[in-house]
Amino acid sequence: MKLAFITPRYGTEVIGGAETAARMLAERLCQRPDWDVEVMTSCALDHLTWENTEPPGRSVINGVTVCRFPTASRRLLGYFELDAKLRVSPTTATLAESRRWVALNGPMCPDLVEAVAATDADIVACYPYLFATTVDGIAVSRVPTVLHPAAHDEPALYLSAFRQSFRDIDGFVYHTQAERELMEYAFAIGARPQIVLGLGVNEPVGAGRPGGDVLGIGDRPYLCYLGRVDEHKGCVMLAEYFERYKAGHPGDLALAFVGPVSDKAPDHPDVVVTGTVSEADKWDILAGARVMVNPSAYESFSLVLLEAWSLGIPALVNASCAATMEHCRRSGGGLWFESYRSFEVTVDRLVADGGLRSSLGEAGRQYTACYYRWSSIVDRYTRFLEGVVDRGHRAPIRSRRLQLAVGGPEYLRKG
Amino acid sequence: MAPIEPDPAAAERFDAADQALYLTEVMAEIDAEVRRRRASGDLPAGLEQELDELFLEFSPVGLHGKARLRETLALVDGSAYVDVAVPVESRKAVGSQIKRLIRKSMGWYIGFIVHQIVKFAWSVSRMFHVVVDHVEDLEAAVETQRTPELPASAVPANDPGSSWWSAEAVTAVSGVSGRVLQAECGNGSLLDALLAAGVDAYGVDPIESVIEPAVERGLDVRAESVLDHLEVVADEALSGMVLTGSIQWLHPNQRHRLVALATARLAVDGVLVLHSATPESWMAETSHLMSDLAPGRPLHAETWSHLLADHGFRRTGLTFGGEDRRLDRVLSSNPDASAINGAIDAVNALLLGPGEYLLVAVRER
Amino acid sequence: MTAVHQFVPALLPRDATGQHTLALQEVLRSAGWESDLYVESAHDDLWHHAIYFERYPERAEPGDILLYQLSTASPVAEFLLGRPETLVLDYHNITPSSFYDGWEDHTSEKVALARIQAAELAPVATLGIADSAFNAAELRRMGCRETAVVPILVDITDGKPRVDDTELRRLATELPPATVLLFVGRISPNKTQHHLVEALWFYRRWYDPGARLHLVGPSFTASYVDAVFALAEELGLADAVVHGEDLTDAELAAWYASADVFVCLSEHEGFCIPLLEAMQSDVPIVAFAAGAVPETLGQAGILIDSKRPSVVAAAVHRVRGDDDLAGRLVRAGRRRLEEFLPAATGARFVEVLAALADRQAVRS
Repeated sequence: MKLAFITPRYGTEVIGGAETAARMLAERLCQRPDWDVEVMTSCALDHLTWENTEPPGRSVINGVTVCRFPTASRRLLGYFELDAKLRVSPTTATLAESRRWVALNGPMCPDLVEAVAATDADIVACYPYLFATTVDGIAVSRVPTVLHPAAHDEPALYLSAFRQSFRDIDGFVYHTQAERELMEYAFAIGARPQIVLGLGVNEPVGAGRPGGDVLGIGDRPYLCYLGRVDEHKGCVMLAEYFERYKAGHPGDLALAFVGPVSDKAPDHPDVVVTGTVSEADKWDILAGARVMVNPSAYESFSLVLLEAWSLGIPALVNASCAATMEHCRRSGGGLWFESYRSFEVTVDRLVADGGLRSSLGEAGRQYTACYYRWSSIVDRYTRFLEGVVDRGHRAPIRSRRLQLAVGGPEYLRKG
Repeated sequence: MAPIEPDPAAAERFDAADQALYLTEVMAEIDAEVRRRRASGDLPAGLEQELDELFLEFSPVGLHGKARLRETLALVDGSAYVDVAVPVESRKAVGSQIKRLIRKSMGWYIGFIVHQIVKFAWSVSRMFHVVVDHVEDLEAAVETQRTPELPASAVPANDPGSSWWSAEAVTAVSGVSGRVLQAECGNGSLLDALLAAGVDAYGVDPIESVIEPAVERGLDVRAESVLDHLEVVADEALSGMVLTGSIQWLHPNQRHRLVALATARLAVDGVLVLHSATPESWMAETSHLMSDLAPGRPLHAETWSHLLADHGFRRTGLTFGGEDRRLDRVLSSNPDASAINGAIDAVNALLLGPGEYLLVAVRER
Repeated sequence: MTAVHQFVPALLPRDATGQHTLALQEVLRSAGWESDLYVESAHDDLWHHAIYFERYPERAEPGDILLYQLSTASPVAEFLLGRPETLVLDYHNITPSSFYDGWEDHTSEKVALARIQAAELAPVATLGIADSAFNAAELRRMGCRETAVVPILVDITDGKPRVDDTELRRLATELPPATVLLFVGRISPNKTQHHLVEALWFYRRWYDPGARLHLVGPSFTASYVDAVFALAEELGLADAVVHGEDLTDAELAAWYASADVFVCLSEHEGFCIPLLEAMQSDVPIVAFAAGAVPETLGQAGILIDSKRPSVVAAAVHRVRGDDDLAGRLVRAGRRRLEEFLPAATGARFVEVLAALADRQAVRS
């Protein structure tokens, strides 16, 4: 069987939750002997400008055949104006206006759309919901089509263009139960074939060094944050909480921020900021942590949580994040905080109680091994896809493609 | 095309009652034609809705809001955005240029003022959203207060696939083309049978641990209650429904909601299969904890038939089965046979008739 | 003898209310009443029939009965509210504003205002005359204490209307032969012409791939008209949906004569004169049961209670495929027309108004 992935961007340089997830799934799936995978994507790597930086045509990346098609225009300035307006009230936009937003959001790749219409694949998978490649791909596909929405509760989700697009989807693939509930509530698609797939955890590739050595703090105990260091991801809040904690509980506990830095938190003697590190360093640091902390309220899946659990490290998450809370509740591998008070109490307990840490960590390890090994994920995915192919596809009454407004000043990112 | 010429002599034979009867027959034939087309696949599910929704592309926004509150709110949203762009069209050619110049120099000032207005408008709009959320929460809370939950430990385990009614349920829905929901599906054993019979079936059951094995087998099963699930299903999205389990003892309010939702979510000509214990056998068999605390209790088959008929369903089958606890009569050779058998008959009639039934109905127009 | 003067917001030549008002004036005068026409505005050709309404006070006589043709918002309504004379309403229904919401806000506001004026007039009117029981019920809900059902005066005869042969030939030759579905009425959201387009799509899919839809009527709500024809184009029916406008009576009769089935899917009608026109041209009718349509149609057509395109297409096909059925419907239509012949309707008006005048005479 042949599966065609349609994504707006693709490549090892592309850092973005949904695009990376698509690539990981494609790379694993094409290792199956009875499955052929082809990715159709644009020549752009920057979703802010959609500038064609890669050459069009076929290439192979980590075993996956990738077909690139040029974008018809770079991002137009008109997008920002329309976006500001629709963001305020997405449900009052007309269908025509919402389709124009999708076209302006891009990437508009007419050749890619032609290729989808003519594909010899048995099934098409679009990833994520937000882009023109997805909406047009769904409109013209003549074969069964599934969607990996990677949806958040954001204004764009409520544009009527997507509601209309979703009615032609034959199956939905979600990251979490929370995403499924959001989509079903918003679009009344409860009766459609669906699967909550998530992502697989890669094998740890640490070098076996003690984490404290890698960080340069010797054998001090430490909490670990893994990911982009960003206010949006709760890092500033975490730094502030940690500072208050240290003021009230002097000791040798440290905090490590491991990942590329966008928003720098104030310096603190017990905080280590590593910046981007190699995979080997990342796994070693994680393995030596007492607790993996995820303060973000906006995770859609949180692969880092599973990575920590695969090493038996317990987790501490933000109670207002549906995705990480879902993992913690189902696994019993983590605790949560909703204020400084609960943060203080929980950290205290976790640092002091080794037995608690290991039972949490073990529960997390079992949960991860049970549901998130790549082999079982791909098994479930292929079984789901086969069911979708069996049911067949009814082409929409008319397959109307998006139309881009004629011309307009373009957006080019500086620097 | 030439129109029909009326026959003057025939006018005498016109009879209003006769005409009314004739037209009723004609209407029935029209309905039968549509049904035939649907069954043969000429009328795929959702095609008419798709056609209707196509018109939305050309019409001004038609809000799908559930409540007037939401519609009003959307109107507030719509006016919360203030457009900064000052129009520069002018009938005079030079007028346009001058307007553009003025716009450029005034632009920053206008933008600053507008920014304040938009912020204010957005905060007002935000407040309305909060109020509407509170009101909806309140409505939901009032609703749930009237419908108490049964403790999960009291609910007996469910293995629908190996029941006396499984085969008949499978037969009832095996002809439909489209999705069939089973609620509650328990361990998925009936889903297996349905899938084996070529039915595109999926299931819901509120208890996650119960459905684990089904999920492992790759079945499309979701951990939610049937009511919560049907709320997020589109109208006429289902071709069939098999209902069993806790639907038997729903609170009357919830049962009312279930019937309304089942009607709306089933396509025309969709099949509803309902399994229930009879009230008598349920009271006799069930633990006191269960029968005392259940929000409702099972209905008689005739009552379900009546409720469904009110909502446009036509009953096509009713079978009684399950454990039959009736006592056997003693042989007539027994000297006290007639007295004993009289007593046995009375007891059988009062308490211990067939324990369960399976009801099949079809949604009409 | 008392006078019965009519008040009407606008007197226009090709308008059902206008035709009715002029015909009614004839009827009233023939019955011996003095009857003038007071208007807010009139078409140039018709000003000689009409007097500007604010001039009534200088011509008022005791015992005058004022008959207001109520179908739209107008300052005439406010004027009448302030008059002491006996007021009779002739109610032709006002389309609920919800139909125009989003399409044409000024029309939506105007009909909302008309409804407010109707609600103010109904309780003070001595008598409310309505075209149909449907309209009469609305009047009573608005507070009118006494109502009477008298159909609108339409220019129909026992025989068939005169057909413009040139137009008939043009329709036969310019357009290829096919099943023709016809609807006559202003193109506005309450008449849901877009549902007719959807029904046509189905009919072509199941029965006759070459079938056509003829829509005759003025483009009343521009945005809606655009949407209907855009939908037709989107469905590949641009050549199959034909619009007829500004036709003379004889040309209109030619369009009826070229039709196979008259299909009405309106959501809201106060009477629906085109149903009578179809009966007069012996065209069988399929209609959705809404508003006053079931009343006007009686048993002279197939009345469907569902607007699903599949049901509409199957109903049209049933009529097309069965000459016996079509014959019966056409005969029933001829019978039905007798109830609406102007002579009968005019007599009913005279009867109702005479009774009112008598009661008034007794009281004074």
